[in-house]
Amino acid sequence: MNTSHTDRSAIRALFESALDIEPGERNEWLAFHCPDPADRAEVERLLLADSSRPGHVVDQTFDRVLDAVGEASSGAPPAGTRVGAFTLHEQLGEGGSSIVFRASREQDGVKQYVALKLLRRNLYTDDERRRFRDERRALSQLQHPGIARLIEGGLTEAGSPYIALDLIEGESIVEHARSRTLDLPQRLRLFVDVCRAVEAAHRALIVHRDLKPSNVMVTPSGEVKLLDFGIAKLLDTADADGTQTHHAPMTPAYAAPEQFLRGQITTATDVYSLGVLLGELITGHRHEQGDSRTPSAQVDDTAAAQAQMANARAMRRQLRGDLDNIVLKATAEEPERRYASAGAFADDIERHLLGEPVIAHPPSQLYRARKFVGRHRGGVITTTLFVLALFALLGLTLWQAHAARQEALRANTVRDFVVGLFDTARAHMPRDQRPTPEALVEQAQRNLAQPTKLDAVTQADLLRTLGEVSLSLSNFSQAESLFGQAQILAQTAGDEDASRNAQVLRADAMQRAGHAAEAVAALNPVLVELGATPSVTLLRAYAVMAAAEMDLGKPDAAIAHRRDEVRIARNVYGADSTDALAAAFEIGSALVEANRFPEAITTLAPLLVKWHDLHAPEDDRYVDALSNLAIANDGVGDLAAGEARFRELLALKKRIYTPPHDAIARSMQDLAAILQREERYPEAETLLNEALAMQRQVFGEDHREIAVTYDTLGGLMDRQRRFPEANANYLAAIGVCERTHIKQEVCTRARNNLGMSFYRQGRLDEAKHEMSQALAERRALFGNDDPTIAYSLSTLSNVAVKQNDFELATRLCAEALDILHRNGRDATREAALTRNSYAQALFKAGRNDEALREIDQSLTDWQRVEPEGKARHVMMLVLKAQILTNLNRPADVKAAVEQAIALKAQPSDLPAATRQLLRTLSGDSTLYPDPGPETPTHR
Amino acid sequence: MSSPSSSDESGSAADSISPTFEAVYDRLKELAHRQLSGGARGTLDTTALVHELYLRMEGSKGLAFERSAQFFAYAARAMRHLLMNRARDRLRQKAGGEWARVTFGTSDDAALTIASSEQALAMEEALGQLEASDARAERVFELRYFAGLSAEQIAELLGVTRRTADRDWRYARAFLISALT
Repeated sequence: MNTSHTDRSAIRALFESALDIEPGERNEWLAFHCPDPADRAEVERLLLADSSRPGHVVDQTFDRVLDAVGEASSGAPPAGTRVGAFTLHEQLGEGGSSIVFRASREQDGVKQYVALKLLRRNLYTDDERRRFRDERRALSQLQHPGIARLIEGGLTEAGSPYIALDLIEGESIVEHARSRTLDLPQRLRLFVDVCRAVEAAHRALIVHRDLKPSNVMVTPSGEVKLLDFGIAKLLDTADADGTQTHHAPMTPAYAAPEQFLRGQITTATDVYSLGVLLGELITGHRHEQGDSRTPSAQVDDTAAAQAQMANARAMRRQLRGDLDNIVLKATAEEPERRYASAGAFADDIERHLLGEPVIAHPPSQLYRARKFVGRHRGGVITTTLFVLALFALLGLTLWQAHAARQEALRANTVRDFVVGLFDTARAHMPRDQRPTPEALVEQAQRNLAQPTKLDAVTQADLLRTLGEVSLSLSNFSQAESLFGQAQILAQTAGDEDASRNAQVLRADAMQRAGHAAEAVAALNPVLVELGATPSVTLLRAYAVMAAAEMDLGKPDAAIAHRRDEVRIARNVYGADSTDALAAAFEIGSALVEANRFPEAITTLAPLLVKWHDLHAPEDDRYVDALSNLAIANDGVGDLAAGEARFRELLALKKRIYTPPHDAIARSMQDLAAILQREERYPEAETLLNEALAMQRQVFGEDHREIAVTYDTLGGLMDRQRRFPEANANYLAAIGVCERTHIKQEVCTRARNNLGMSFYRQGRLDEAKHEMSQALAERRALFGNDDPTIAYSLSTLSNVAVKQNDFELATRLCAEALDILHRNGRDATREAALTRNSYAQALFKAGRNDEALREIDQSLTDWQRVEPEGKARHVMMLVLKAQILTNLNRPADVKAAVEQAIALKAQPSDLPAATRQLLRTLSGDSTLYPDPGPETPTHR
Repeated sequence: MSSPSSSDESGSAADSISPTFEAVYDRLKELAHRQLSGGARGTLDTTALVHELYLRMEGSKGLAFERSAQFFAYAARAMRHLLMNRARDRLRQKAGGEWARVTFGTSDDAALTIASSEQALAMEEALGQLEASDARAERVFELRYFAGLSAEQIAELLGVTRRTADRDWRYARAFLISALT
């Protein structure tokens, strides 16, 4: 550190910029940007330090360092102090966590000497004391010739725990090997004994946690004795659930990464420490942190001489290969890459001693790539680094294709790796530092387009996997392009199954991107080829087909395909599998989309119960099913319950998906729709705008979901009589439909709503034009008997009334009511509204008796289906009063008017004409004063 | 940090101690002593200690902290001081032969104690260098390492973004490791 004259801020800036450069290119980058060699060396030192493994004093917690240093005064009890049945003699050692004494007790006239360890950790609670007792009991049952016995343990009067252990005479295994100049095979055989003792403890479910030379003793007669087994855990009072380890003493040089990172401590933790110990035993050097050299590379002549070898080179030859690999395997950073047990570790060494092939092999590229990703977890990753990891993946594929041509193995490793890679990025990184996966996928695609040594099947597999990642990220065009490439490659390679699979996935991407007709066209030939043989591809094909048909306004065909899908899913996954259930959820979803709510409820409710009974996860499939059930429930009534459920769903989705995501946006829309119906307009508007922004990010401007949001926003404005904004939103929805050529309920609904908005503004010709067009579209889409036709007819009749064409109006209403009747929808909201229109038309046509009969019926129905719909209720009562006036029944007129006033509807919700009529009919000119011409009341 | 009185806090932990700092430090030592001698020898929970001290100092009229930032700066400094004093004592004991004669194995515990003391003192020196060249990075490190504050808390206290605090930490870590190896 002699940089006091250089500008540190410039060094820091260079350091931080270099972090964004791929490590392999940093030297070149630095040479260009930092010509001064001294500065450059300094930046390089910083970069090296930055990439060093956690374990440095800087990475430890302050508490631990402070503990390790200990208190300046030892505070040790003097010799002669009684601890339990023991008398303390001289102090044998002291550390941050304990003091060790030689101690003795008289038993049956025999003086027994022990090593008594006084722990510096007080046990405060009953729970801590109980755990100490349990642990002690387990340890006292651990009997193995290679393990120092725990003789007794207890609490001093002051409440601090102590344990008495066999007093072992001897020296540490490393000193033993050095002082006796053991040769390599002797050292290895000794180490095998150590592993066997550790294995015995592991079988008794006791992990040492602090294996190091001073705990691995060898007696003068050459027997291995392990000290302090399980003591670390005894000390670790914060360890109630077996996962927290940060108070446990451990020795950094021998500690496994999970001990620094506070991960789960398992037997693999001991395997790691054993690996470090083996390295030290065979090289004579303790492994230094951050030193990535293999044991053979650390050997010098001194070490060689101690192991009775001629020189370092001879010794290196002996270590290189098997022993290097064995130590590397034992000290792998990921516990699952180490030996499965201390026994397996010992077995491998014995194989080496016998000259047999060992299990340990050089770290694979997969391993290296994983390590790379693992090291860069926790917020330091940059896009560049991540792309590098992806390159590593491609390198891996090359290597694998070269090394092993086993199909299944390759396919699975590649896919698992890619998915694992992205999971890593998505789950663990702070949001602002995550690379965009889209960018990574693009990069991978570009690399695959380069000439590679990969065979076509592998490339196709990789492209398909990348496509699935894109799909899960809602990047549909990227997915479509990837699947398309995969399909062509698979076909070229003659792999028909893979080709069909890719084609189905491509159709999936099209459908989700809103290109339903193209998806169907892509699927039809595949379905013919697939026949009826159950397969995962066929399953997906049915699912995509059903979704596309739904988009194309063919709910019946969609539901039929959903049923096919469920049949195949039961066949492929089993009748009671979550996958089969999830497929059945889709039937419910299709029913909801077709507005067949009661059927949807009877389908979904039992499925959701079953899902729970299977203890299946509350994942996105569950969320969607629940959400559909909520919509169905909402469709038949109960707003408050609906709102609560939708809020819950939104929260769940925000946990499952990373925004922006179409699933979150859809949940926002659902919630907004219910808020609107609860007349909480500002909340609904905020939510819808948020949803719209998110959808634009996900889909671009043109997508069915966006049309739905525009239409909903239009309705929201309409309700608040913000007509220009309402019209603009409806037109935006229609625009989306026209540009994407989708023909769906939302498109006709938006057009009809536009017509209604014109109607409310008194722009009757425009209203009639839009409504007629909506009606024609609906007839084309849904046939002449669909309930939506009835709604169109009813709205058209309103216009006809305004245009004084009463005859037409009554005819339209009668036809609408007939359709509703045929659909079993006599007692619905639509029916009540249509009947209201019918009464209006009859009244205008002078057919007062018929009008009175219809308005009474519609009032009854309305109060049943919309008890809170006050404005409409008032309007109906006003109409009734008008009819009664014509029929010359003043008392009944008065009653109807009083009833209307008593409802206390928001004046702003009432049309001006209704307010005027109320004033006239009641004779009270102060009632419901007009707020002034064209002044929107909200906003 | 633009506290006008921040000049109080400059200088290395061992030197130029202001009266305010001394007051904080004395209280901290007292608390630490009580925690450690409470019946037996417990493990020091420094984060709890700092927060307990904060509550006490807040309540007393003797010390008025303009901002909690200043308090935590003092507390971190005090913790750092505590560690240095212990480490110095340890090494003095070792040099003077006071250190308990170790006959139990090689006692990695003892070796760890000495190694940790040496590392702690080396870190102290490196922190001085860091402070001279990048005071804010040094402060971020100090608050996180010695006072146990989270990156969010530090960002809030120093009025910087979380990202800046993270970058400072990363730079400080690299600087210290590079200085210590």
